[in-house]
Amino acid sequence: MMSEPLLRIENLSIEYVVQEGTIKAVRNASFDINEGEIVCLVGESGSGKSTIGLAIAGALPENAIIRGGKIIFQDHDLINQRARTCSKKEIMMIFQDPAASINPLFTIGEIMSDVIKTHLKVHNPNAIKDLALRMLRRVGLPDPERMLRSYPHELSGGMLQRAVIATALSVNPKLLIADEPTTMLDVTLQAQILELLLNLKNDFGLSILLITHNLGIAAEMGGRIIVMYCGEIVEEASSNELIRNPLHPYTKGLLECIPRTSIRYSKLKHIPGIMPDLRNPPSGCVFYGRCSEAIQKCRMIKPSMVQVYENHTVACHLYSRGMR
Amino acid sequence: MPVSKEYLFKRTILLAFVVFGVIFITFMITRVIPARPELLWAGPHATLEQIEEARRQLHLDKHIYLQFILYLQDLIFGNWGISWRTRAPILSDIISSLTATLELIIIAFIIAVMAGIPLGILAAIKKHGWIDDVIRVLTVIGASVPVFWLALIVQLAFGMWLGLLPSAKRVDEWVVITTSFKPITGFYIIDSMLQGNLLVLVNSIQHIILPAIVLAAYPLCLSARMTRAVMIEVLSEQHVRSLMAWGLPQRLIFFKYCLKNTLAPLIASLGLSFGYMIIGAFMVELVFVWPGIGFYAAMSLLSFDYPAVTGCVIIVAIFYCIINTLIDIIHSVIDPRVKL
Repeated sequence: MMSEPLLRIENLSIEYVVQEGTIKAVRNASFDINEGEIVCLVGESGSGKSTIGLAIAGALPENAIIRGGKIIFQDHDLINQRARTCSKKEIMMIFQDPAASINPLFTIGEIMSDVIKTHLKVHNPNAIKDLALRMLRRVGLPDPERMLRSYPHELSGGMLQRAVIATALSVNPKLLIADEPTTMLDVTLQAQILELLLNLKNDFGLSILLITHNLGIAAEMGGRIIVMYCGEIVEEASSNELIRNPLHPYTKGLLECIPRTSIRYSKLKHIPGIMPDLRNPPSGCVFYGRCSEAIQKCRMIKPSMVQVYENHTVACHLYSRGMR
Repeated sequence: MPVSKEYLFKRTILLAFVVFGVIFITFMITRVIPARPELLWAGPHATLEQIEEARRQLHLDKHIYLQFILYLQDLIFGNWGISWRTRAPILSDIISSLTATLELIIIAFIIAVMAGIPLGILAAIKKHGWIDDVIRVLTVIGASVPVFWLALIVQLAFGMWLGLLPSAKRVDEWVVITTSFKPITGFYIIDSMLQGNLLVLVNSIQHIILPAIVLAAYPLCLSARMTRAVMIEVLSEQHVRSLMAWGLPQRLIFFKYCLKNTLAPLIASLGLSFGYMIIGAFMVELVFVWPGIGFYAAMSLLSFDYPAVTGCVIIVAIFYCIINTLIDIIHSVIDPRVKL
């Protein structure tokens, strides 16, 4: 890499303390996000992808503990609280369910102005309003004046998600974490929101970490795709490369699961088996129990990330040196 | 205002029905109790003829439904009757004792809310820490101590042993006489301020402190516990997580955003506990010789003073309805999703 990445995650491990024990939600995750890049974090629910997003944004729930690793953003380790306050405005996050992610008792305008006040230290109400209106217009909302006075329940999901995006981008962040931003929306709206994100990325020079369970969306967004399974990163490649040439058996399975209208499948495909218990993750490969290509080695020894092609790494014994 | 005319109209109709029902039920219950209130009216040394005369005067010789209609007729013309016990017009009795109670419970309610809600928030923010534990233990104790016992202990400690504060009545008689104080609204604190009567003001505040604190104990602990429970739930909601992710300071998140979310469901039970205090205060009023409506109702009941009892019940019913309407209105102001 020519220059330092915007964000570097090193060996990040996060656990949730619950009544029944400790859930090891993320284990030894490492990846980079460069300036102006889109990185998609793909995985099933429970794979730890949202946890990573929340950790970067500094909004982990109380019962989450960062067990180890570093989140380095512009030379600061964000796990350190003081560094966190310096770079708060540089990292913004949007969420899956726009209706649930905005406080129902406040208007869009009130929330936007608090975010702007906090980060930009602007206190002139007119300046705040102008900026808010500009942002709402920029994300394609009609009648932004009315929007400022609206309560969340008066808006549709798509409008709300646009308002949330406007709020997040109003303070001009460097990195936007989008946690399943289209999952709760109609299919027709999904494409619009994704396109909006791509547009905004170019205009604002944003980096985007898109968290999704949908490989199709990840492929459409371009950029790099990181596949997670059970709290571990199993494969990482550029989107074209990953779609054309998936290496990890899990990624292959995921790709086969995308329903296709062009081919007449008699049945929807799925990956047999269920995810292992994360309170006590397997010592070998996490996918061992569901993998159709598993070999003896996979059961006991955890595969490490190996570079198979340029910009394509995978954690699987099938590609370890000497296997192929 | 998010309140529609239809809503207020419906509420008024409802109020009329509730009050009628309350009058009917209390009237019937008090009349079917086998007691002889005419004996009280006629006096201790009355002859048989005098007692018979008293029966006629009080309409007790008539059929019960006729009695009810006569009573309703009087009520409609604003005549609430004469108290059989004090021989004063019931309405003026009730108004003077109601203002005494209102003064007491408003102060108590302010104490309860101003202390209970912050304590609840503090406990919720420091969940499972030692502060939370202390608050939880204290509020359980406070909510379960019998109020009359607490009243006696407070009286004993602050009134008798420490001698800090007076522990009976609303104001000292000598102060009223020497300063020629005349009640106007019936709220002594307001009246003394209106008349610029500093002596009565200080004296009546001194008198109200102990009973107000005792009366506040239960709603204070209740509101602290409820605030804690609701706040913990609110804190786990997604919109709080997004505000955190957007980097808003915790102070703002807790005391602007979460507080409003917490208050919305809390308003209803706080309002009801305020309504309950009107009559529920009578234990405290009894111990502190506070001439309030609970005290008046209890005394009337003990001496078979039926018109007075019915009058008290009507007032309390009207009060409850008004409070319920106010709760709805406040709720709709706080929560824009509620439309009235």
